[in-house]
Amino acid sequence: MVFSIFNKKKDEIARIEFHNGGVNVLESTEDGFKSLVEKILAKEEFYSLQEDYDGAQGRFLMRRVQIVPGAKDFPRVFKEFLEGVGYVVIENRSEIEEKIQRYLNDIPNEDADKKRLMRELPVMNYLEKTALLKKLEEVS
Amino acid sequence: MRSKREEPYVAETPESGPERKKSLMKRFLEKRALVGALALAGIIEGDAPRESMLIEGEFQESAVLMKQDLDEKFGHYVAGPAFDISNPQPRLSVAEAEKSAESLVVESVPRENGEFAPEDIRRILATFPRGWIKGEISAIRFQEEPFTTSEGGEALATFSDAERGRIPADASHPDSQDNARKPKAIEEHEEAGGAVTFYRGVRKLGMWQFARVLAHEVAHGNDPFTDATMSTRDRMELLLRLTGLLQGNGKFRSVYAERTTESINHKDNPQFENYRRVREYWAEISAAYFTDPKELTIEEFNVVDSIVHRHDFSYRCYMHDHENPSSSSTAFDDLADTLTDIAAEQQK
Repeated sequence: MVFSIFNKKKDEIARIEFHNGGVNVLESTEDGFKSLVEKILAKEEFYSLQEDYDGAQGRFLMRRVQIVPGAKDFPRVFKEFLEGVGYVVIENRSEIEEKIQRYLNDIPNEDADKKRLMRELPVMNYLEKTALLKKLEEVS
Repeated sequence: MRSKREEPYVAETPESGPERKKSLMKRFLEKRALVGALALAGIIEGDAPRESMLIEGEFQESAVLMKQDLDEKFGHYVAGPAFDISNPQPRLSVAEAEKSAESLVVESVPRENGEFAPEDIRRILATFPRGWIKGEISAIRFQEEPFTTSEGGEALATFSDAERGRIPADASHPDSQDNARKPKAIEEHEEAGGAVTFYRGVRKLGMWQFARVLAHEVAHGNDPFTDATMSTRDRMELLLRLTGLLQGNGKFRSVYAERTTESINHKDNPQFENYRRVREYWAEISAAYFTDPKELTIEEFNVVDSIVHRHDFSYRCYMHDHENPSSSSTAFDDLADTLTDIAAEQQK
């Protein structure tokens, strides 16, 4: 699982990968980002919210559960942590991007809108990508 | 025999495939720039009608089949009057719910440094659509006593159906030990909404996390089993759409669908499993819709959006682009601005 990290100006500053329970900074253009990730991993605790259903009482119970690096939920929790400190984090969904690109194969690469769309595609969030793909499927 | 002057019928296609794609790309990019980070259903599809796809007569015809499908999936959970296809009207209209004299009890909720005063919580609740709180939620409470869950972890909040009486403690569930109270609870609290109770652990939540938990718990009061203003048709369609998305009928699955199906398993009781999964999934995607819609799939966004717009047609969940002040303000901004204001006031 790979995440792209953007600053508030929407410039991509790093890519991180979750692998074998660790967080690898694949590339970074911002000084200190790698050491920031290391510091966060060393010092912070991570929590997720989980809800259970109490059938006897007819109620839902939300609780806070600690998530350790390597847990299945950890990438999502770490992503929320980075977003909480001001970064924009987008999970790379290459399979959706590839499908969108396939649908646009019959548009010349020189087309100005296609160029712009291809430029913006990597920074689109999941909602935007699935919305665009759904619409392309409908018009194709 | 076709006369010479007759031309074969050719359907009008104003744009060829590539032209339609070009047109779509242009609109998508323009609107994405206009609203900032989000290009949502309404934006790229225009203000498509959010009404049910079925007209009245078709509903009556299809309702029996839909109900059979739901009976199989949910059993006695869809046996109540809310799913009576011979009486499909909602118990309350949104207008009636909004005029309801029933008062919402709101208690202050402590934070690590300060508290959410009742008026702060009311301001946050005011950013939700019309009909989302009134008639659905009767109380937001805080309980100081420690509450350690049997599963471990620190209790943050509960949403209680039992208080509202519409969906009382599950009498058929093997855990239920107090079935005798069920009819009385319904009688006493027939008009009451569900109750959200926060516990000590909530102090550790940040501002946005608090809003997220609140949105999640409130959504339990607006789900297809509990919502007072939802018609039978809406309930049935919503349940089937949610079930389909959970099963992967959507093009893509979100983290919410994956988490729900992974974390809730009752193989010995598939109808209970379906019931729990659908309620939890709905609360998850509703909370995301109000606080962080970018992680939803477009299908999930559209499901919540359609129900929100039945409650409040003027509600717009578009993220505001602060670099483009000409774009219109939205309900999402209201929540963000409200949280920012509360945080600033608490720091004074």
